Amino acid sequence: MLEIPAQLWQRTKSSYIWRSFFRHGYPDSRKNQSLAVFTNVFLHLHPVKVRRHALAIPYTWCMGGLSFFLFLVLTLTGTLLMFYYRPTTEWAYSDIKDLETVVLFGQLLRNMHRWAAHGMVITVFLHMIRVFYTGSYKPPREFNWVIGTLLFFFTILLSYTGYLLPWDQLSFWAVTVGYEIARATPFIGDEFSFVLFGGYQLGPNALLRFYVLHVVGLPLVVGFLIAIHFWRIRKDGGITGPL
Amino acid sequence: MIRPHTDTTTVGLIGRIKRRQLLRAGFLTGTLLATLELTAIVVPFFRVNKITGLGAKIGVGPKADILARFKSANDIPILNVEGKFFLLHAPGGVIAAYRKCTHLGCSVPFNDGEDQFHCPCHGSLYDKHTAVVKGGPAPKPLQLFHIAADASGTLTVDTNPLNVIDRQANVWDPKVLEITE
Repeated sequence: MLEIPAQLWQRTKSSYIWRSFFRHGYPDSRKNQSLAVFTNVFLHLHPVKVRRHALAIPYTWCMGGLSFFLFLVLTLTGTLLMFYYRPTTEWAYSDIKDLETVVLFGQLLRNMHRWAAHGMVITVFLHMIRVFYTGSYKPPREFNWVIGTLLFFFTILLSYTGYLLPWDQLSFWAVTVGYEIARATPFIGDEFSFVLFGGYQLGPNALLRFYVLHVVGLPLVVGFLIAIHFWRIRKDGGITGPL
Repeated sequence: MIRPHTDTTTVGLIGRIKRRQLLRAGFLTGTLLATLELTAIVVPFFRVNKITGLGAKIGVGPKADILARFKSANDIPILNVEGKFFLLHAPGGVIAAYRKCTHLGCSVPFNDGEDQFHCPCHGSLYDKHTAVVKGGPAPKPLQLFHIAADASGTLTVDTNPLNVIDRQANVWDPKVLEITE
C-alpha cells in the first residue's frame, strides 16, 4: 500500500529541484547539522558551534537579540499599518482613528507597533549598558561599539520620526519642540530647520518627510548597519563571554 | 609572465607619473567631484520652493473692508488660521500679530469674554489692540508681520516668521504702524 507514496517521496528527494533546495541530507549527523546551519541564509548568522557561555542568559540578557526581534516586529507591523495610513494632514489623524476602531486587528497592530517601538528603545539601551559593563567594547570590538552607538542614534531617530505620524496634539507639539531645538543650531539654525522640516512650522511637508524617513530612509540605514554589526560580531570571535 | 619594471622615460611630469597612478588619481578625482556635486544638489532639493500658509504672502482684502469689520464687531481681532496671524485694530491703523506666544510658542487665542488674548499654556495676556503684554510670563509683545498695500488699498501680509517686527519694549510704539487709517 505504502510503496507508491514511498517511491514518490524517494523520487522527489533525489530530483534535481529538491537537491538544489536542500544541499545536504537530513541533519542527524554532525556533518549534516553543520551544513544545515552553514547553508541556510537565516541560520548562517549564527556560528555552527557556539561556546557554552554564549547561551548563558545572565551574561548577555539576550538584549541584542531582543532588539533585533523587535526591529523585525516593527518592520512587519509597520508594513501592515502602511496599507491603511495616508501621510497627509487631511487623513493622518482619522486614518489612525480608523485603524483603532474600524480595521480588523488594526488596534492590535497599532499597539504592537507602538509598544515594540518603546521596547526597542529600552532593549537597545540595556544592550548598550550590558556591553559597557562587561567591557565588550574593548579591542577588537571597538569598531562594533561605534556601529552600535550609530544604531542607538538611528533607533532614537526612528522613534522621533514615528512620533509625528499620528498627527495629534501630543505628536505635533512634541515634534515642534524638536523643531525649535533644531533652530538652536549655531549660525544655520533657521535655515537648517526650514530645509529639514520643509517649512517655517510643522505642516504637510514635515509630515510627509517624516513619513518617508520613517518607512524608507532610516530603516534602510538601520538594516545596513545591523548587517555590519552582526558580521563584525562573527569576525571579532563570536559573541562575547567571560574572560 | 611578470616582467621586471623598467623606467624608460623619466623626463618631465609625464615621465614621473606612472600610468596606474594617473588612472587612480583620475578615478579618485572623478569620484570626489561626483560626491561633491550630489551633496551640493541634495540641500537645495530638500529646500521647498513653494510655501503655503505660514511663510507665504497672504492677501487679506481691501483695507476699507477690514476697518468696517472692526467697526461693526467692537474691534475683535480677525484670525487668519492658515497664515497663523491676527489682524488687530491698533490706534490709528492695522497691524498683523504673529499668533505665537513669545513665552514658549503656543498658539495664542483671543478670549472674547476677557476681551484680550489669553494664552492657555501659561496664562500670558496680550492687549486687544496692540498685542503688548498685560500679564503672565511673556517677555515681550507678540511679533508683527509686515503688511503691504497696493494702489487699490488691498492688503497683503508677509507671514515669513524670520522677517518680523520684533518689539522688545512692552509699550505701544506707533512707529511699527505700516497701514494707517
